[in-house]
Order: sequence, then C-alpha cells, then structure tokens
Amino acid sequence: MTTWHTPITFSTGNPLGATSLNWMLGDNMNATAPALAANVASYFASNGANDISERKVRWAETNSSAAYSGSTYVAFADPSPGPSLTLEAGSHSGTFLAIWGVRAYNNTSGGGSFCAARTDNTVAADDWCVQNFGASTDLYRVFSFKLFTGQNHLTDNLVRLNYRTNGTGQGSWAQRVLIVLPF
Amino acid sequence: MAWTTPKTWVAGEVITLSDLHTYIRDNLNEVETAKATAAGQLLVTSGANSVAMRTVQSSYADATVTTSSTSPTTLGSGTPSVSVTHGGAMWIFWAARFRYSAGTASLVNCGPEVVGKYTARDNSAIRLNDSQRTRFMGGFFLFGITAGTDTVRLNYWVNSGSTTGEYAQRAICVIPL
Repeated sequence: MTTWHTPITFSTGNPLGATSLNWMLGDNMNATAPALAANVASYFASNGANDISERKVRWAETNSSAAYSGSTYVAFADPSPGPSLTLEAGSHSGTFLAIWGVRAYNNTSGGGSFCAARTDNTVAADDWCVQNFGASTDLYRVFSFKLFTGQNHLTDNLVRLNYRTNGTGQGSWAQRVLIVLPF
Repeated sequence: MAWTTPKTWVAGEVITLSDLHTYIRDNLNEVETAKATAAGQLLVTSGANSVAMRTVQSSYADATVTTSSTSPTTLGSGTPSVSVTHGGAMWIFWAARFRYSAGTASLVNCGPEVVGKYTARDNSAIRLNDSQRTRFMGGFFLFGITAGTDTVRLNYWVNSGSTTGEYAQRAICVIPL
C-alpha cells in the first residue's frame, strides 16, 4: 500500500525539495485510482481514511436442483453444491452486499422453502432469506440481499447459500445464483 | 475547492507559490484518496472533474405490520429507513416477507419512497396476491432527483380497501451515486 500524505501548503523561501516532490507527485499520485487500477470493469472503494483499493463484482451460479427436508440451514454438498465464492483477504473492507436468487418451492401444503447467504463470520438467518410457501406449481424464482458489515477482511471469507424448510415437506431449490459487491 | 485543469509549464518558467497550491495541493485534495474518510465508501463521480466517496446504507425492521391503505403509507414508525448523501441517483434494494392476511384476495404492495423527492408507486414496488407468506426483494434505479442528503424508506399499500396487507422482516439497502 502506498501511503497518502496530506498535500503540503508551500511557503515562500521554503525550497521545493525532493521529499516534497516525492510525497506529492510520487506517493500521492501512486495512491490514486488510475495508478491502482489493474483490471477492466472494476470500481473503487475505501479501506479507511485516505486509502482506496480496486474492487470487483463476484458471481457464482449453480443451475442444478437440490432437495432437503430439514429445518436448520445447511449448505448442499455434491452433486449440487453452492453456489459459493471466496472473497480473498484484502478484496473488501469488511462490508459487502450479497444478492442471491433461487427458484424455490415445497412439495407439501404449508411447507416453506428458505434460502439465505452466510459468511465465515455470520450464519444464515430468516431475516434476510428468500422464502416461498408455494408448491411445485408455483415455480417462483425470487431474489434477496444482505449488506454484510463487520466482516473479517484480513483472511479469505467464504460466502455461500444455505437452505432450510419450515419443518414441513421437502423443499427444492434450483437456478441458484449468488452475486457479491465488495466495498 | 475545485479541480483545476493542470497547467502546462514552459521551459524557464518560474514556478510560483500559487501554482504549487493550485495545481498540486488543491488538485490532490480533489482526488478520491483525499476524500476517503472511512472504510467501505464507494468512489463515484459528482460532476465534471469532481468525485465523491459515498456510503452504502442499510436498515432492517423485523416487526410485523399491517395496513388496508390503498395509497402508499409508512408503517412501524417509518421503518426501515436510511439517510443517504447522493448526487441525484441511487440504487435501492428492499425486501419483505408479505401476504394478504385478511379480507379480499388482492395485490399487496411494498416500495421505496425518497421523502420529498419520490413517492412510492406501483411501478417501482414488489407486489404479491397470495395469502401464503413469501419473502423476496425488489430493485430500483432512481435518477434525476436533486442531489443532497435524503431519507429513503419503505411504503406499504394494498389494491383493495377490504384487504389487509401484512409485512415483516423488512429490509432496505441504498447505494448512493
């Protein structure tokens, strides 16, 4: 990381030295977005005061259908895992927006199918889930979101979808997509 | 201060104090790194030769609320609600678990309001005609409003006054641009 220096107010009789030039025209220029940009279609967000980094939208998809009858949130294993994605250390500031979509339904009247994102630091919760009580004839594909804050950004953080039913019937989930916008 | 188009110096020219301040100090204070004040801020443009760092905001209200109002109204003391500083455009995402809980089967609606600048309406709402609880999100890109700091909150309404709309697990997130 290049350190940002508060721009100097110059004064008469104070010669323009190499240190000033290096701070103002070297270090500070190297801490701006054009100097830090490394990829196409990225954007910039702050890591803290006077410190920015390039961010990249992340995306993962699982098209296959998976079924489950339990009432506690779980991740699916093979052959229908995920979707999940890893936010590498330093790829966000501790805050990111997760948006996910899924076609969810249940084979029993009164049965609900839920889907929520979780991270290494946060368990899935109904507060931000996709929830559908429709039957297989109600093939809703719906989306939800969660602005995760206070996340660990110093190590890799696995973001993935979890699934549960309300304890009635068998839920099914297909056409699952997970999108993350790191800030 | 404002950004000043960098000067092209010529050989033999004396660099003045004023030039150093205008083209180096003041312009550096206009770049994104100088304007970042905390973690998680988003770099956006705020006009010609002007950038700003915006803060994404979210809010959540768990309580179950109901209405039979056929015009958009706030519930639960205006929750959920966020205050955002923006340049005239924003992405708004919101979600709720909702249904009609009593009365006639009819559309139940939930959509965003920017207080004093954008009223909630059918064509920017999430809408459901079902007595079974369903939770999902809506998204809307609002642009062309006056820049400033504004309150963005959810409104609720139904299509028939004999329908009771029920809402819970209500969330809103705004990405100001």
